Amino acid sequence: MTGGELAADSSALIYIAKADAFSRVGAIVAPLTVMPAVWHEAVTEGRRSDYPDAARIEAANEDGWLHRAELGASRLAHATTVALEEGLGRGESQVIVYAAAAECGAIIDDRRAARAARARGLVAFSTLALGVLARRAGLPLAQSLDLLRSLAVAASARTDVLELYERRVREEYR
Amino acid sequence: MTTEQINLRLDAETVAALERLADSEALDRAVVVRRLLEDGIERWQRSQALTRYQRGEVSIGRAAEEAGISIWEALDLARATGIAHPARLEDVDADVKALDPSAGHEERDGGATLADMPPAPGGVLLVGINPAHRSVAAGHYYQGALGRRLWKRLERLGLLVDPQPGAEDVTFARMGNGLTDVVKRPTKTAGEVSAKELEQGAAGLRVKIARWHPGLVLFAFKQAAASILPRMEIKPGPGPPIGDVPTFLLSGPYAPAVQAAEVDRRLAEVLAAGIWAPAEDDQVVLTQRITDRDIAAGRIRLPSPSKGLFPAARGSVQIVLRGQRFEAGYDPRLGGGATRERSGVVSLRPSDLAALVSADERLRVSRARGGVIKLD
Repeated sequence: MTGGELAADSSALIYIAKADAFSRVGAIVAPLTVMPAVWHEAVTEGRRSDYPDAARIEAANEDGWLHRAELGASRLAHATTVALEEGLGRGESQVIVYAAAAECGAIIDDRRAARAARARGLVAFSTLALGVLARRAGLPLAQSLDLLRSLAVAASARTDVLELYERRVREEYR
Repeated sequence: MTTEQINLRLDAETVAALERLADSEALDRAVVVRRLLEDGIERWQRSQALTRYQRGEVSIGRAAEEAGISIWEALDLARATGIAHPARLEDVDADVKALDPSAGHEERDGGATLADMPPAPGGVLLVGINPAHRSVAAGHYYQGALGRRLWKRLERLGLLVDPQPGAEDVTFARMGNGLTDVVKRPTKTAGEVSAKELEQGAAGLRVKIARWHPGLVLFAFKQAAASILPRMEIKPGPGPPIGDVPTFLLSGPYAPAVQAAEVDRRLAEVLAAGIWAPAEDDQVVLTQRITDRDIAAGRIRLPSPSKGLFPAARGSVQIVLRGQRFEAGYDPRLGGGATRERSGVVSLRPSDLAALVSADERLRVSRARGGVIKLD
């Protein structure tokens, strides 16, 4: 998975930005693909609402950790349909439509959106799983755990969930 | 913006409060009412959207849109109202599973792997999940950092004696034990093995166990045991048998030291009671030193402690000499009288002995299930 394309949802970008972890994530996955609606939600609206971490997402794009992609008119229309049918936001539905078309994975934290993605045969996982991916990509255990914990703090993950992810990271021993 | 006039009837107390508010803010009463209404509607929309999100009716993205706020604000609002990151315990493994390339679009490997090393009948069959690239490249099992720790652990348990670093599997097999994996496809991590591969591998493992007749199936990792054993019974320690072969799961590499020590103690008990039968008090039992004359004569002499592992009477015995099975002759040589007990003798073809043993060596003697004698 480390070499494959990944489309990131807004919450993933926000958590990574809050954890100031774009360079660490960039070391283990290809540049994250960002849909127009995701950029709007994470950057444009973030800056408008005075969230300073939104600037980190812009900087990550300038540093090459992100890849902004477009959707054609028919796929934009499809995304709107998916959003209405599944009760999703514009960013989430665009990620799903793009990942299905590009046959790539998706980082989606919202359970409802992740379920909709998996129902379409997509590989979808949460931002916290990047800690496991880091270990699989060969990052030392301590650094993998550090990445996981910083993302978990940024995402306000439950303690028991974090502990289980930590266990899974430790199990990635080879 | 088009506007519409709405007439409201308010009680005197509310009107008085509005008047006080208008005075303190130096605003017209109608402006105050309008602002309070707008603020109330906004709060109600947020509350509604958050409730729908909390109930799972909409995603966080949709909730933000319905509330008319940014997703940053929606996430903050969710956190402030005690809604944590949506992941729950049951989502974690689905997440980890999603990272498996077989769930996605990558296919890799398929070529070289590590060959099975069948155990002698009655020996220990060590079962892993699948070979790591590093081990395949080295041509030997368990060559990663944790693999070496596993070998050290087996050495402490007496399942490995004087191994050659980097080729521990060879020594392990020479002692009559065997090695295999549930899945033979090498990967960087065990997590890259799919459930389907494990299922197919488990079926193959059953066939191997039935064919090889090991004395014990020793699972190195939980995932290997989980592929073939009932899920409810998977925990470090003795497990349910596969056919008539007992199983044992080692504790994980990150298990607390106390737990690992306890599991190892139980394995030592299993080995002592069911697999190997040391002559006395776990002492290592050795043959006499083998001489050139012994090799030429095709004999191995056994001091009295070793004789306890052999039949009391003269006859044939099944032996596994450094992994190779033979039917050998055995003579306890009981005619030495009370004052001088003579060595017992195992006899086999000189050419077989010469191929496997050198002069000046002493062999470790142990007894496997079914009365098979192991000489390593």
